[in-house]
Amino acid sequence: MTNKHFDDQWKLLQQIRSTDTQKEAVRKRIRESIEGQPSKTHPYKLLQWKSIIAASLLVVIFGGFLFMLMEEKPKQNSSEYFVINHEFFSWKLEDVTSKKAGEKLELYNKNNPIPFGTVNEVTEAEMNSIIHSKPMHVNQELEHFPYKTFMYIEHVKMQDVAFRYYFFIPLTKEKWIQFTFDYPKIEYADIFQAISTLELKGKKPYHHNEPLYVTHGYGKMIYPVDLEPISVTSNNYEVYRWEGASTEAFNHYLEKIPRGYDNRFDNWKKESGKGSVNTFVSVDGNEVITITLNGNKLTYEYFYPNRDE
Amino acid sequence: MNKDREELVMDWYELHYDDIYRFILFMLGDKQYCEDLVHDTFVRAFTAIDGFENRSTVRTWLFSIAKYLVIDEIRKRKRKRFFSAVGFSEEIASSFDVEQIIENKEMILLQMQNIQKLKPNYRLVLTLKKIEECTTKEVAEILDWSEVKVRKTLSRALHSLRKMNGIGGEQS
Repeated sequence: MTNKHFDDQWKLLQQIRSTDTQKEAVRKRIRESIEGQPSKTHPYKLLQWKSIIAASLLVVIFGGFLFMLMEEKPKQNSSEYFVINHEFFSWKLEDVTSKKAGEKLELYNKNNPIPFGTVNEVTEAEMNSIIHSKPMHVNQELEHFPYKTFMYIEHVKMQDVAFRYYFFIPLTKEKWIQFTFDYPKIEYADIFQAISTLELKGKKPYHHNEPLYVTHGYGKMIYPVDLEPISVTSNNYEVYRWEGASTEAFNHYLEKIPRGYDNRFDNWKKESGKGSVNTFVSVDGNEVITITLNGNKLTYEYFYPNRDE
Repeated sequence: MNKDREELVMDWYELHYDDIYRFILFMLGDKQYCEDLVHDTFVRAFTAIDGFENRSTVRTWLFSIAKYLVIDEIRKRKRKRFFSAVGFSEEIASSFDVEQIIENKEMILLQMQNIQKLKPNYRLVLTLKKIEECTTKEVAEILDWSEVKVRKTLSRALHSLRKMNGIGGEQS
């Protein structure tokens, strides 16, 4: 390839740009964000505060009346009435505690004061509003889970959160329960272990009679749902305790990998392996994963042969 | 006063949107994130406008802000399994709206994918020099490097890219 051809390529790459619609959408967002910023000069700030306080007082007074009226009303039909508290749900994920925070429950790992997730009840309209107002990148119904479960993944640009997983499960015709989990405050495997072993009080869960695998939301590799992280580092090396580990279960898993989550047979090719150590290559050749079973420890080693990093 | 600043930043947006968008797109290869970071770049410019002392051009200043944001994002992505997570080709394909580019889509996708595989520093210098056509002095200013480092890194980046393309050489 000549320098001239190389130069032509740069010229083409320089022409890449977004569409006018995208530009307009970002322009609108910037305007909204800028206008939402606090002003540095506040000539009538005091007046504004007075109005806010007066309005808040009115809300409190009328809210009080409303609350008293509602208290007088009989409770709704108990078969359609759910109270979201720590007794309402359970799962096999250990060392999780919850604390009431307003309308929702916050989820904590034992001995960690920072919540990693939330649980709350939402209406269908609220759920749709959440789905449409966040930058959701994955929209998937999880098959064979204990309840009809819809998963969404939001890209979150926070120091300690990269992805926020949302799971919506219908409770009644109008009400849904929403679970959120923040990665990397909680590991992928833990998120899916929680949801795949979920039991809601008063709602019978479905138990699938075949092993369940998930993609952890992204990527093409499937993982058993019953993994507990032992050592997950950023050095492309992960070790899990596999609850359902056995030679038979491992063979079933290895057979399932090339078929993928969607049974399309176009995700992974087995490169080598026999027995407990097996290597798979993604069809584009950009990812190589060696999977090893040792007792009940399942190890993944990731390599990216075409990545210059 | 805020209104004046807002209008100034929105004027900058009209002038430099394409450059900033392309720079972030080449750095991250992810359209959705690209839009988010373009947004963040201009909002940060608005909040930091008092610190802009006209010592550099607005364009290089905006590139510096965008650079911090993309480096921060790349650090985040180093957490396991992120890179393989986000689809690339599908994202980029919808960014084409020039007929000539559509005709060369395969070649461009391949080249963009190759650029994505480079080290972040190589990607930075290559994007600023070859795509955004900044001068070596401007790149040095944006990246806070010496001009010698810019030249050396560019040369290495081009060498890596040549290797990926399986070809001989190109002078920077």
